Amino acid sequence: MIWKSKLRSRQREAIEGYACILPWILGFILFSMGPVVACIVLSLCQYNILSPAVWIGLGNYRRLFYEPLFWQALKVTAIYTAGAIPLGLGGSLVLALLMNQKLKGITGFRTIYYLPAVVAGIAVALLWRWVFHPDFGLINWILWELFKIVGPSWLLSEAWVLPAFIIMSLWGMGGGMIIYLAGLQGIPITLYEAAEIDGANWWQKFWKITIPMISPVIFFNLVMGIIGSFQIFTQSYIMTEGGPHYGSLFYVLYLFQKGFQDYEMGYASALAWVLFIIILICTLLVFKSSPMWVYYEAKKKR
Amino acid sequence: MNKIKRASLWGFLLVLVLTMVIGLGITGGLAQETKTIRVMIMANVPEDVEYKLIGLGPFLERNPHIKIEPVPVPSSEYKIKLDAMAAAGTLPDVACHGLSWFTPYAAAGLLLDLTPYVEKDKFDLREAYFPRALELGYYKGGLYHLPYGLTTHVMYYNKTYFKEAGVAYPYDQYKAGKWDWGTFLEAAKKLTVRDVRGKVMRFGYMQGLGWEQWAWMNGAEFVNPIGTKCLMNSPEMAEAIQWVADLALVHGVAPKPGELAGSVHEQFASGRSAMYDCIEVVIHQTIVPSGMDFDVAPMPEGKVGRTSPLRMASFAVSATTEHPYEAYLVARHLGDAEWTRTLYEETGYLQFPEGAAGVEFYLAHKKPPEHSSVFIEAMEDARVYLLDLSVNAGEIRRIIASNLDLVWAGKKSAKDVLPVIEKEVDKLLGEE
Repeated sequence: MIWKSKLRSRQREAIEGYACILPWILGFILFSMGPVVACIVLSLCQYNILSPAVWIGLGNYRRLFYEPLFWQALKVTAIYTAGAIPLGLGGSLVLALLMNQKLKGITGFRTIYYLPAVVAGIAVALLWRWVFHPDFGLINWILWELFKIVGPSWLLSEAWVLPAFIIMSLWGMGGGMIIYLAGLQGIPITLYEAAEIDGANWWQKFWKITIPMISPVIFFNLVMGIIGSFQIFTQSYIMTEGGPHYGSLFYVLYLFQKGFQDYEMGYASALAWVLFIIILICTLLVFKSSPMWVYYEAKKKR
Repeated sequence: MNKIKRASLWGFLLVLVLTMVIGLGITGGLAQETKTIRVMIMANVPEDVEYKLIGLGPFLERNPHIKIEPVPVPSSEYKIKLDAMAAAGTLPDVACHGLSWFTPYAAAGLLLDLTPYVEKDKFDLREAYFPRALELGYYKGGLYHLPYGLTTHVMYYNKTYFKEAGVAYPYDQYKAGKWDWGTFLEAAKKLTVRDVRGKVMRFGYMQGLGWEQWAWMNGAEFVNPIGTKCLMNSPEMAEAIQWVADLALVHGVAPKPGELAGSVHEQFASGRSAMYDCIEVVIHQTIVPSGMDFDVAPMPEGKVGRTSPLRMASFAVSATTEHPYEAYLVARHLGDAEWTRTLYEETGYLQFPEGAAGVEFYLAHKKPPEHSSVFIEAMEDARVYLLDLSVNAGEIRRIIASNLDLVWAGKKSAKDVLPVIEKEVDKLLGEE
């Protein structure tokens, strides 16, 4: 009898638990899992949105290999990722080190440096279009006024459009800076004191204490950076539409053009899955390499 | 006596019942069921919806059984939303369509062929629409799109700059039979202003929305009349494209396409150039509010005359609408002569007419510019960019644009890229 009532109470508890998470489960199934499953199916179909889908098996995936623009989009995105991630990781670390100083009014500076990270992507893109303007842009003006260098055409030049986007990626450094700052403030001061007693200089303290202690934060920023940079879209959509001459045709922009402008939703779904696999492989590689360079204090203690 | 009383009573009751029955029958028969028509409208500001409804006022008064339910969508999301609704089978009864997706929607069977409803309505299409615009509404013999928001390119010019530079106004040159590519370039050179370093402070000319008109005026064609073969690899096309590119690269009188960040309309309105070829709607949006003293002239005459691209949208009816005739009526009244007149009287906004029926009213009220008749004349010479009617219109535009990027940048000549463009476009036209 007691067992029975206990079971009933457990069942009731389970039912209540499921009832509580039901809205989330429903939302997940309908708005996340459903589209994911639909995307897999559609990637195996010829589907133009306006007419019913036709099953073509792996046709869309085979087509990828013969599409020059697929390779161009991949190349552009890879170059951007290779340029933007080290610059972003390094830049935000330097910024975090500066913002970690014990100075009067430092909170104000931290806020100012973080502000750009909260500005909407479209507004940022429009702003940077002016910054990169060949004749009246801020960058070319500085180059001319300070160094008497005639600046490049930036967004109008096939060669300079990617460097322009990489420079522009620094705009979001504030987000990484805040995470680094949290990591830096978690480093016990005693480690620096002990190093100072042993006669360590600034560089030794930075290289032997700061970097290992914040390596989990670097790891986190690296993973998020890889995912984010492979998904870059808004900037090129607003600023260049993939031009000039496909010089800024980022992968997601290509995917968008195929799916929503050319009515090739099946092919676009295949592109989405390939992107997922590329990001997954890159992330797994970073995870796999992490034991070599990420220091976890808790792990060490065990 | 009682019998008479009883008979009178029965008679009275009978008349009462009959009156009630007939009365109910008549009112029941007359009162039509309200038919709600959902209309999807590109709307970036509340006025975009409000104006549509104001213009429909008299039509809705005559048809109290029709109720409009507007579905406003910002232009940036419009196409995606419409596609999603099409995929979900929930297209609104009436929707505004862009020229580049006229064909895919008609080809997919998503739209209603309006021919039988036009016949039932005894609607004179020829009177209501400019012939070239009406042609675009047809697909495989069926009428799917009713033209809306017609416009074409003319040459705007800042009269103050012309006066200062001592150059005759383009309209006067046109009237004197001297307004051609040569006199245009000469004027553009005189009107370009540079600073001490040689940097252009004011351009002689700025391109608004595309360069196709220059190709047509030089005798070039983009595609054959049935839209199956690209004809861009021709000496006339190469010459025209190179001429447009050289306005920036050689003569320095125009910015390179894409060089001007932000709205080009606003840059003309703020005085960044002396001439600007663009569509009619910019007058109301930007030029008049800027207070500029301006006028318009036709495009300068090329080797084979003058022309400009016809730009337009449409209102089309969903194939799945429950009220096809009412939806058709709404679609055809949106933008018609009555709608235009009502809107003007209520708000002061004058939309370009869709056909001959609205021309007189337009010319009587469209001031400024001084020579608003130029817009109507341009409509008579307007050409349709047939590649926009391809089911692969978006991809074709991108192929052309990305290859021409190299010409605008001076890295390749028009002659070098045209064979590549023609080959790639032909491949897409062949897929249709």
